[in-house]
Amino acid sequence: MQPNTNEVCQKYLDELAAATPEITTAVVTTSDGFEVAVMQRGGVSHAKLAAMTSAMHALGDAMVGESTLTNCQNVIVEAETGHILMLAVPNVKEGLLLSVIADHQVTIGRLLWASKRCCRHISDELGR
Amino acid sequence: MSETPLLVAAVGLSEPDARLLTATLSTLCIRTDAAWKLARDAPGEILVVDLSHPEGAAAFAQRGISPDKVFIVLGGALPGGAPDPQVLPLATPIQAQDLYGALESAAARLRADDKAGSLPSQPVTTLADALYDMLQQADRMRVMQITDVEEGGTIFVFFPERIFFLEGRLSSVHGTERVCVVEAPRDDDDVAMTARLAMAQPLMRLLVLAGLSNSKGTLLPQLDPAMAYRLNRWPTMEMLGAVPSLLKVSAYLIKRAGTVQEMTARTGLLPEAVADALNACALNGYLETVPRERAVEQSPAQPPVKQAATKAKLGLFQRIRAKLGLATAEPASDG
Amino acid sequence: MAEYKIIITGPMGAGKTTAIEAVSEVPVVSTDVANTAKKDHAKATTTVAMDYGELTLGGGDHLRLYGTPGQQRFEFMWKILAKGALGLIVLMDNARPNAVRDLDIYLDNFAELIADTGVVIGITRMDVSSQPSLEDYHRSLRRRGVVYPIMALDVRKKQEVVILLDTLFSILEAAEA
Repeated sequence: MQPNTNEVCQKYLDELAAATPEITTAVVTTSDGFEVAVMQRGGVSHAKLAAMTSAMHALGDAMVGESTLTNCQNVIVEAETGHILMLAVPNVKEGLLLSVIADHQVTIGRLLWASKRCCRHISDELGR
Repeated sequence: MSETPLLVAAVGLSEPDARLLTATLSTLCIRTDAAWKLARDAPGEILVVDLSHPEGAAAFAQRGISPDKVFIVLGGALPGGAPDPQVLPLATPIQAQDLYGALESAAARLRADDKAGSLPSQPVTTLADALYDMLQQADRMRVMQITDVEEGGTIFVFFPERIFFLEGRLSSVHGTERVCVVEAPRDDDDVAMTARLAMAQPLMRLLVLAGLSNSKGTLLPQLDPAMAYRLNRWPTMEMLGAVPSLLKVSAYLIKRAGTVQEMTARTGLLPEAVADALNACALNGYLETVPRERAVEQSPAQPPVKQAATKAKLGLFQRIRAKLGLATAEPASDG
Repeated sequence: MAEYKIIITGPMGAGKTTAIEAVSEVPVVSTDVANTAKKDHAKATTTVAMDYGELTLGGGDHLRLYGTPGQQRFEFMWKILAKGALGLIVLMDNARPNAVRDLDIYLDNFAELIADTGVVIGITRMDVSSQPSLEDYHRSLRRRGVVYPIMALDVRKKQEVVILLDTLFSILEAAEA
């Protein structure tokens, strides 16, 4: 991994958190579940979240592969009191994922838009 | 060290083979407690003959008039029929290790002949009992030498590897042969012992031949049919291959203890098959006895409502086996 | 229509995916991604969710074969996958530095499944490293006070994987007796 990958991801993660106060935890993780950058307001284990994100996204990938669809981009979990989004950061050699947990006060649309923008910024700076 | 040298004669050997024999005899002198000598003018007690040479063939043809000699034979086809205790075949081209081993074996036969008139000082027992007893202490590092008092053949049994090497001839391999047992030290510098180790076979084969593991359904005298038994180690693949009932009995015994009667009832196997499996486990030290009361607690009978589910599950395993191409000859047990 | 499942677990590189591929009737669904922790294991990829294979049994029934991720940070998947399983296979890579100790991790984490059903332990890559020996594993089990089947196998060979499964079924049948 590039030396500044952690810094870049942390910068945009902090930006995302500042712009969307409903986000309780956000993690950038490698595709095999190691955290690269963490923003945490709640008590969730970010190590576990990183591992779970990689598992969920890989399952999404596998399901897409079994169907006629292509390229799993995001996996969304809708809970009673909020959402969890797991997004693939495009065009980054290391294969990064962004995982965001937010309470129900933010709409899924706004959350998705803000998270995708975060991914785009990371991709623009790190992407090949 | 033995003072009377063992005389070895070469008949019909090529120059290279003769040189190899001389070198091997020198090695034997260094390594063993016998004196070995190449017989140039005197007749040998051990004759190394090349059948492809006329002199070698002639000497071999006259072996009947010298029953006290041992012939190490190379370079031709031996007559068919039962193995001749006087003859040790040697493959060509001769390998030093093989020649060494053959000379040792020949010497062992000569020594056995010398002793044939008197009983050994060690207690004599049967091969089956000797094997059973030594298996109870199978974890110790040692070599057991089992010598057939009639034929002089010796079985070297190596622990903890559980392998054996047969040198010479036994009167039979039925388990009833009279043998005496000596414990020998493990010496990594002993070339002969190292050679035997390299050629040794799994002990299970001997146990099968001696009728111990495939015991035709008779529980070993050391096992009480009224006792409950439990397994303390899963059997080896060699054992599982040698005893057909062993997989089922082992699977039963690792979950709970059981008597022969309980195992017969629960596995659907015949009592003889259960006995064979228990014998194989006992011989290898894998069996433990369990107090009867504890055994009963561990084997509760199934309530009727569970029996239907059990039957379905057993049918499932048969179907999976069939799908995987495994034989499904045995019907599912009714418990 | 009934569904049945067998779980195959063990450390990364032990051969779980290969074992399922050896017997599955369908191409194995895998969730392998790039391995970024090369210092822990040189493998290029690692399973992060599960492997999936299956056998059809007729009558609409299926036997599902699930391979778990090997690394302990995915132990939440172990719990999820273990639910309702018929039995467990643990594959150990004998070439790993602490192979016998690795076994304890899986026996501890799957203790409940093992107690309710049964387990068979397969030791792979003994051609690469003959030590520890099978006896070392048996000794470790004795210290735990348990007896489980242990066998060496090459998971690339279908027949050897079949023998492993057959042994597990014998254990499961005996549990029903």
